[in-house]
Amino acid sequence: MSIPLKNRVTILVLGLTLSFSSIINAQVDSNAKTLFDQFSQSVYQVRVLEKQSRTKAAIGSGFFASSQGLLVSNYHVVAPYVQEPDKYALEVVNQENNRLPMDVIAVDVINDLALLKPTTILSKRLAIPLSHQLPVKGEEIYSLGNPHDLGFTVVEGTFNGYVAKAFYSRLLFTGPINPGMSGGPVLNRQGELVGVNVATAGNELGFLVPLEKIRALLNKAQLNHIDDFTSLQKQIIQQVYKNESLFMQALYQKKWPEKNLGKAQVIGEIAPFISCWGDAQNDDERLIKSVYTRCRSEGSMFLSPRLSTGSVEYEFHFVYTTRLNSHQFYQWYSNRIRHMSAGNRATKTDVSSFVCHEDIVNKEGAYKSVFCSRQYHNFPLLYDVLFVTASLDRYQEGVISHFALGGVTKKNGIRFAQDFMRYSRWKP
Amino acid sequence: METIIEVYSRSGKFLERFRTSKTSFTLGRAFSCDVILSEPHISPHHVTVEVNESLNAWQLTDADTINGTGFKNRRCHGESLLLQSGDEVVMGKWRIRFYQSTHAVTETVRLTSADTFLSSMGQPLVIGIVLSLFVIYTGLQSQTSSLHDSWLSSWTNHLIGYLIFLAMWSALWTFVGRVSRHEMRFFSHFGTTALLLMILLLFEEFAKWLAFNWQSNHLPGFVERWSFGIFLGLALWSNMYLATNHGPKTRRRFSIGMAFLVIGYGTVQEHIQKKDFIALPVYSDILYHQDYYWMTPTSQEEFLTKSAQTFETAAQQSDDKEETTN
Repeated sequence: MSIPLKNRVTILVLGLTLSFSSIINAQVDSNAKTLFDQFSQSVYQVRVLEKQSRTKAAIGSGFFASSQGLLVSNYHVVAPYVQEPDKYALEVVNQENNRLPMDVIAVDVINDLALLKPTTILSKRLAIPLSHQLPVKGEEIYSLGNPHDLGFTVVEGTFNGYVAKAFYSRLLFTGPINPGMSGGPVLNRQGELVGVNVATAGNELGFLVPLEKIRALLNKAQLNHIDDFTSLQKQIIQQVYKNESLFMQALYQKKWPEKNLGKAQVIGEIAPFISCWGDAQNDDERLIKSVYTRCRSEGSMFLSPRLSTGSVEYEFHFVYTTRLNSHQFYQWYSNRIRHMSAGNRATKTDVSSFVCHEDIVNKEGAYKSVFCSRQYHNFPLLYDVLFVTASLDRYQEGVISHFALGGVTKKNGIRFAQDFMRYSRWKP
Repeated sequence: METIIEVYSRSGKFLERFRTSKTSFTLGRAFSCDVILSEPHISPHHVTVEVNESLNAWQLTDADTINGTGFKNRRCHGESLLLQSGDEVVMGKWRIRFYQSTHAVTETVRLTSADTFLSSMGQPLVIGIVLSLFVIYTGLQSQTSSLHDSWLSSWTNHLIGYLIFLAMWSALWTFVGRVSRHEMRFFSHFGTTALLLMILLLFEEFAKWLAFNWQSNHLPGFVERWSFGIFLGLALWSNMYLATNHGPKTRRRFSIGMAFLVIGYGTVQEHIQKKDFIALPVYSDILYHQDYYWMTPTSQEEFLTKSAQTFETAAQQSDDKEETTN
């Protein structure tokens, strides 16, 4: 299933093979220059190194944000190291090319944050202070980082408040942030932290992890003695489970709105962070005409380069023909339920194969229905759930409904399927 | 005692038969011989045969010929051999068999119903009926599956495709029959193969409908493999019956063997594929209008209850995987 291009968000971690041609025009005014001079000692490049070749597997940025010498970055930057500490090593490098080996002591996978600590005791580092409040909309803010491994840069941009439709809370930054800047700090005019670079949608649209999420993670680290942190994997599991329950609750905050799709009645945007797109293919020369709507939650939770979860998508197709006979129509209709896929990214190392149950279900007419699930190896309470249903009660028209949930419990998966089945039907 | 002499080619094809009541006679290429064998590797005066009444046998003497006389896997030059009724010697490229006129012949073979059936398949009426079935079948198939306003081109394409296949298959077996049996029987091959193919095609359609009613994802593949195997086995058996000299045992072994080879290959293939991780869900995509569903549709509650069991199966799979990786 394709996503409209403007919805596509690139995570700002830079892989090895990336090539680029665009030049970043960072307008460095005097304020930016001051900030750069002031904090260039606090901003580092974060490198995940493959142990055998000692080469960079991934790079991002990071910065010191506490007097205890804790460095903040994105979880997705350090994810290869967290997932496979035997294979990868972690280090940070400053402008003078001084290398510091690092360890990850805490993560927040929901908000894509990681706290790193040097493995050796350091002389005091200048920490970037946290702002007490977010800037006003339209205020100039400055993003720091090391785009494309080209060297440290400061990028001036505009603060645009919270992203309106997002389950995973993000700030909108208009300014060119690029791969490699992930985990870099974003400062206000006073040189205080307001967010952390996390993703870009291209065309000078950048996304930041909001200030309060960083503050929460740092506070948690201060409350607990740092060495008391439960193992990272346990932290991640707890956070993923917590996120699942929050996500599913959020889908049930209001009565699901119904809307018409041709002769069918389907559901629209069931939560504020879900957006629907649609189109119709009903030109006269078409043998089979269709109207469809596709809805998906904005963003997902990054767990590893191979696995993302915590998302939902659903689609409805109303298809009809006047020019083909019923047999021809059903032949074509069969092709339309083929190759339904999960909405999230996952591979063999993370999930089982899908197991499906299929039957003909009676719902004021017969419906072919398929329910599939696959389990997460590392989060045994969670499953990806996929459901398809196609009406079989009309000769020359049909409605196909499909949803895919990424990372839900059994109970929530069944509950969603139950409601989804109730809501997708013919117009009374 | 009367002597019967049968001449066979090296590949076992019967060539000639002679009868003589002489007590002494000669075999060779020369026109002065009693039995003239015009085969270039046989000497003009190859052997002399004397009837030995007391031993109820023949004494055969090779005239120290160039190529000798073969007997029981041995080549003799200028030797005398004692032959019993039914014994065979090799002279040149030919095999010569000696019988007494009192020697028993094999039992009469009853004409089987298979023979009658296969012969009748070559009748113009039967061929006509089978061909009309193909016309109707491909017509229906095109009308139901082709996604065009006009299904005529799809119809002719399908029909011509099947006819070319049948004609080539039958021509191949006709050629085999011409070589090994000296008879063509093209129409019998054509009629039989066409009928079997028709049954196969109809059966596969039926299996699709069954799979839809039973909501089985495995059935179509299973039926396809087995019905194709059975079709191939039956077709090969009939074609061999019509075209080759093989006995019933060889014929049966060969056709059953080929059938199981095809089925086995498909089964192994499916088994190998099953082991792999599949990112996409696997389910049946056969859809018909509900008029074609003859079972009772399940309730939503029951569907969800059974759906919940997929979690257990998926978890089981996960555990199995961990065990193998650990």
